[in-house]
Amino acid sequence: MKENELRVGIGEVQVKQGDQILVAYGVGSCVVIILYDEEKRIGGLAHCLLPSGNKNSLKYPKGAIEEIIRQMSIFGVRKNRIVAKIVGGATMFNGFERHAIGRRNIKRAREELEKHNIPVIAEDVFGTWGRSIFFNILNGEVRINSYRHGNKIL
Amino acid sequence: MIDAKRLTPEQLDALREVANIGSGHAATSLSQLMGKKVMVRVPKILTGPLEEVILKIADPNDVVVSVLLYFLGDLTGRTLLLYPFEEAQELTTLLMPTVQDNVTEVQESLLKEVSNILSCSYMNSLGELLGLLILPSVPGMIVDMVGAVLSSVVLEFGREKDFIFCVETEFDFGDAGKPLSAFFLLLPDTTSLEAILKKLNLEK
Repeated sequence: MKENELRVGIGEVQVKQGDQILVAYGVGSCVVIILYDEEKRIGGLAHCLLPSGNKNSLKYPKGAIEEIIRQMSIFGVRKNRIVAKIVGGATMFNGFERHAIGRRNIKRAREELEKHNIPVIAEDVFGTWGRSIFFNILNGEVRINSYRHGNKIL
Repeated sequence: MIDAKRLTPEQLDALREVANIGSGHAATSLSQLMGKKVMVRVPKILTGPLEEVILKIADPNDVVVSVLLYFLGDLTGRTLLLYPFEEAQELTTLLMPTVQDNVTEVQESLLKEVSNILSCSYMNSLGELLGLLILPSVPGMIVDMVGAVLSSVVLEFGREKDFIFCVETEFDFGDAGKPLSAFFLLLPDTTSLEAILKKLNLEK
């Protein structure tokens, strides 16, 4: 892991400014929500497990998005400057899914972002493969690495 | 309802023993199939939040060949076999040294079948020991990052969403100079965990 890389584990949220890369490894049915203010070069990444649950927590899109917006506002970011990218929501074992967690995660993430009027400018979602996500806050670039489908830039 | 977070040392011991018997039978099957000695490590019970358990098994970025089966009947849950990518290749070469055409397709089918045999002999011995009927599904297989595989399997089927209870057994099938291993994970549903402990008369 490089010096300026910071790992965001499952159910965690990180918000940073400048020369930082936020990383989420091995994302399957989980959803990664990335919020970014290009002008101030401030970005946040959430690694959510499930569409919703009993408590309002960082494990679910609702709580995670609220937390990123809150932390970004401490840096002086206005909500109408924020854009979003969504990655993940795969169905790893085709034919074995029972609750379609991946699909529901993506649906929920889109809905929650819409409530905040945050536009989703790019997505790499669904499919049957895992992804590792590298979000470069300096230029807003999101690099997606997957074992079966190589590299992709969002 | 049993709380997997608060199992007593006696209950954990009993579960380890059950896993030991299951994996012992599975190792015997693998050994017969390969005509080689297969060793089993003492099973480990892994409990905790999803992220923590994944890190205990491997780096989430590591590529593994994973085979999933679910079982129904008196016990419900999943078994997941994880072979680090290189070991999977090695294992197929050991089992079928002369493969030439369609290597990946044949290898895939072979690994599925091996995993099927391992899982079924594991579950059969558990069923016999506990006097319970366990029916396994057909296997599903993917090659991908271990973090993505594990988190998705647990979230898609688990009830206690971010808390995992799983029994891990490591198989060693390498020669003295070349250690090879695979991981067998047993992920019973909470109700099945209860049923196992009840059969063992260790219910609180």
